[in-house]
Amino acid sequence: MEKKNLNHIVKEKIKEVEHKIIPGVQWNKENSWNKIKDILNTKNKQLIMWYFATAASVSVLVAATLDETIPVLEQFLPKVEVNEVAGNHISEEHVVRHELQEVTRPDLSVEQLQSKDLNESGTENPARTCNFSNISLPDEYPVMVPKNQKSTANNPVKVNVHASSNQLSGLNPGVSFQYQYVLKQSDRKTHYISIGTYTNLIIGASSEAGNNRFYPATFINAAYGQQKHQDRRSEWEIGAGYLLNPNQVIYKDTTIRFHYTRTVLGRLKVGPELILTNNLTKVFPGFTLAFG
Amino acid sequence: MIIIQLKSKDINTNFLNEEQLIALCKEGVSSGQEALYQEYANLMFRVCYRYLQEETEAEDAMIKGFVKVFTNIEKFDYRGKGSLKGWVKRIMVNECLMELRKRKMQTSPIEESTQIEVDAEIIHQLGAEHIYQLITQLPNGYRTVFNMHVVEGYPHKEIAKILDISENTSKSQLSKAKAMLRKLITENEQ
Repeated sequence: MEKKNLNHIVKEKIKEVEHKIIPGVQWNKENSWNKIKDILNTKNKQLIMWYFATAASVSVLVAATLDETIPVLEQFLPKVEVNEVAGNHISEEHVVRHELQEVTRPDLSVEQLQSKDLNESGTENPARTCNFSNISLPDEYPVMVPKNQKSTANNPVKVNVHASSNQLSGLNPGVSFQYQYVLKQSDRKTHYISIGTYTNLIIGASSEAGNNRFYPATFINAAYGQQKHQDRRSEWEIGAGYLLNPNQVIYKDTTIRFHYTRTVLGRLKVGPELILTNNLTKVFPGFTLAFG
Repeated sequence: MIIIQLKSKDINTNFLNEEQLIALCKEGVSSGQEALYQEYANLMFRVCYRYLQEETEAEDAMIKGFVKVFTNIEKFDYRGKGSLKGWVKRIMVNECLMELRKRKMQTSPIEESTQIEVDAEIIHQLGAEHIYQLITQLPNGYRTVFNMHVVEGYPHKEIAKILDISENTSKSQLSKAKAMLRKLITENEQ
């Protein structure tokens, strides 16, 4: 009797029916397509939302940084060295000496000093400018913190509500708790380290394919930061977190989140984040918007 | 230029060849994606059902698989007829294996590994659909190795690597699967 290898026969038989609908199975081809379409649309929306949100947060961050750096940059701008009075070039030193002589003359009253800016015909002299670059001033003046003003580090437990976004998850709400330990505190700044949890509520597809549900992604977080008592806008924090509950909808296996936040307005903080997932093999940049 | 024409909403995707369909999908055109889905949905659902045995799980794996196909199609390099089908099928099989891993697939090694042959007449008497149904009746571990080796053509070395089992375990699972399938066929014959 002719014998045939089972492998070959089974393969042929499977091929015969591969494009046919399985008899007795309730599966609906069109429903599945609608679910696929929904998932693809959601992914596109998430990507667009992530793009705009990231662009907005980067703009806010840049604006906040510029706000602080412009006064610093001004110190490095070139100073005018030559002054002009009625078409004649005079040195800066000359102008300063002249001004000082005028001011220190005991025989001149305030009115007479003011009238010096008028020339003989009674019209005003061209404006004169001078730079006191030789006069040194201290870079920083000590800031007195009122006794009744509480340092932000006095309360060690902080609660933030936040929204974070990346290409994988779209925009998700969440909450974080952290315990702060003050490393160093002065009248102006507080340096701290903190430990706590950071939880994101991620909207993900369930096992029934397509039905959305929330699930939490909780990170255990460690951070280092700096608080300024007078200007909250220059506060910042940098840290890393380890995902405690991987292998749900989005993040797989070992997952770590790095973040940097900066206070931009009142209690509003914005900053980029980086999530490394799938045993740290996939990288997803994103951003965080926090309030607290 | 071709892509601009293909992007038109009125396009009849029935007249497109595989290469044009791929080009449309790479551009993210929904009609192209739907045409590709319609072409392969039955086949891929069968693949998933053959591995997972459960209708809703098979649908779930197939949906995830197609989403991966459409989001990764830019990386796909067309290498002639059959290459797209093979690529899509591999994605589906991977999805099914991931699902099975979640179930913590049980394997039980046996002592001997023999090549079992079946009477061709008996096999031919059974319809293709019947054979398909008998395969889905095999237990998880046997079925997975059987599907991968016999139907998809994976070598034991690769199966062992993918399923994180030894090569011998893969061989023994296959032997057991064949023995059981033969038993099922014989029972059906009677």
